[in-house]
Amino acid sequence: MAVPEPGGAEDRLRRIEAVTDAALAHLDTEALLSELLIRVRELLDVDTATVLLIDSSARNLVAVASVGIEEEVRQGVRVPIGRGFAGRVAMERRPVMITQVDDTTVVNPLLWDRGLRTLLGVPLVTTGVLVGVLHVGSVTARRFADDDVHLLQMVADRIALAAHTQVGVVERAAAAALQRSLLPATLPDVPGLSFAARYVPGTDTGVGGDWYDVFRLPGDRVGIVMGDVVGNGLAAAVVMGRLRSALRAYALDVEDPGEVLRKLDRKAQHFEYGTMATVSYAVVERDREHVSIALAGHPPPMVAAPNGAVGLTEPLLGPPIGFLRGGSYQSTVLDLRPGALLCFYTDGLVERRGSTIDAGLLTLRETVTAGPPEAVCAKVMAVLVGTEIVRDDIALLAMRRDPA
Amino acid sequence: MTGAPSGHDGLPGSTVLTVRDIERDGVVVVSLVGELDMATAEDAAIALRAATTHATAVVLDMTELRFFASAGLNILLQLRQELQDNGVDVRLATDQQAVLRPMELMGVADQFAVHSSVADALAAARR
Repeated sequence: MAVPEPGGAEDRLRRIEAVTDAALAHLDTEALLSELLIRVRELLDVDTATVLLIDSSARNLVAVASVGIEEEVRQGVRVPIGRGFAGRVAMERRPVMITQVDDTTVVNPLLWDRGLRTLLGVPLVTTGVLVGVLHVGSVTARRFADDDVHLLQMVADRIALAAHTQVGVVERAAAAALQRSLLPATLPDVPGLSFAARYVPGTDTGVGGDWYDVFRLPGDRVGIVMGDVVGNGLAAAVVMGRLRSALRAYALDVEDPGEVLRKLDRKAQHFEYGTMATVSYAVVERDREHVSIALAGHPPPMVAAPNGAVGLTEPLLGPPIGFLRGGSYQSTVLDLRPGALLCFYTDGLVERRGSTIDAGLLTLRETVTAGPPEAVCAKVMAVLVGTEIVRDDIALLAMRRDPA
Repeated sequence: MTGAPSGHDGLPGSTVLTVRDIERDGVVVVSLVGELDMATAEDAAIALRAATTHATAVVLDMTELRFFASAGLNILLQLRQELQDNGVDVRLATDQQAVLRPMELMGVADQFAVHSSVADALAAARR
């Protein structure tokens, strides 16, 4: 077989085929990365090829795969975006070539220790999002042709897509596992009260930041939480986990629900900048006749009386947790008659595109009864969700005081 | 409305939300048309930031916003905080219940200077 003339049409085609080979599609991300790097090294006749991905802080690039300079990965090389060679490619989001590799152009000493004299780097971008950098290095001084840059960018696009997809799959699985571990598997047995709950992840967003919690407190009191961290996916689930723990800790020390939310707000503002969560926190008193409740931007619970009357409760409303400086939260005491039911929910239950929240609240009001909580939850989900595909996640918790 | 459109004309890939900004007498008017929720909030935040970077006063025109969920409110509260920290006057123009009611239910109705029209908001911003 004749060797194609370098730079000719046949050679270009051979090079493109080598990196778009359908067989590559069957490899998992890790194997795909190393196979593509091996091929790129051969096609461009270079000595090293390295992929760095943006870490969870979104400030650093971390080496995840390399041929010819494997110690980059083994040593966990980390390059701040905007600094050094890879950092510059990430910042400028365009191909960059340098022919001087030393501490003035590169922050990673492994590159000049390796004797590299020319580096070519391209950004990894998918759906407009920067996910990392791919760079190749040569120990000889050389210039890369436009064709070389195009080929490298083509490989980068393929790597970006694969890396992005893999991160997506891993994050969704992690978020779902976290969410499952944070929602009570069973609600506690509490004398005088019965509970039932539902949680459904949104179809658009997967698992989100909705949570509910029921726990016993000293003095035979009972805490009931319904919360919604704005956002979705792993980031929202992680913040939800922290807020849930913090709220439990404050609840143990502080009796007044409004004061618990004030502390939670302070914690969120200090440690979780940019977070916003709506929370309803209620405490059923020892007598079971009174419920103290405080709201942080959260819709109030619906109350159903045994005589059939249903309505929204009207506790004082404070701003959402985490955002407004100097938010104030006050508790409101509600009466709970024997057999009465309180229905807590997140906005995903009542909010729909093409409709109003008030329409959703009205439907909820027409649906809730003072029946057994399990049956009430089933009915509410059947009527308000039914067979509809819901975009946002939904949490629902019904609590009934035992009938006299 | 008068004034030449500038900069960020719509969101690429979004069919449900359009963000447009124009400048009128030193006040940047950013119009949000469509649905602002979890699906569009992230892109909207980027467009809003880009549109308001050099503003000294901002009017958020939400007179044609049909759906406004908590994720949308979160980005507006963040934007408002950042702008106010830089001494930028921020006003909201809307008479839509689809915007006002969620703000009321989330206890933040008093957090924004709300005017029923862009003209009213502009008049107040220039004062």
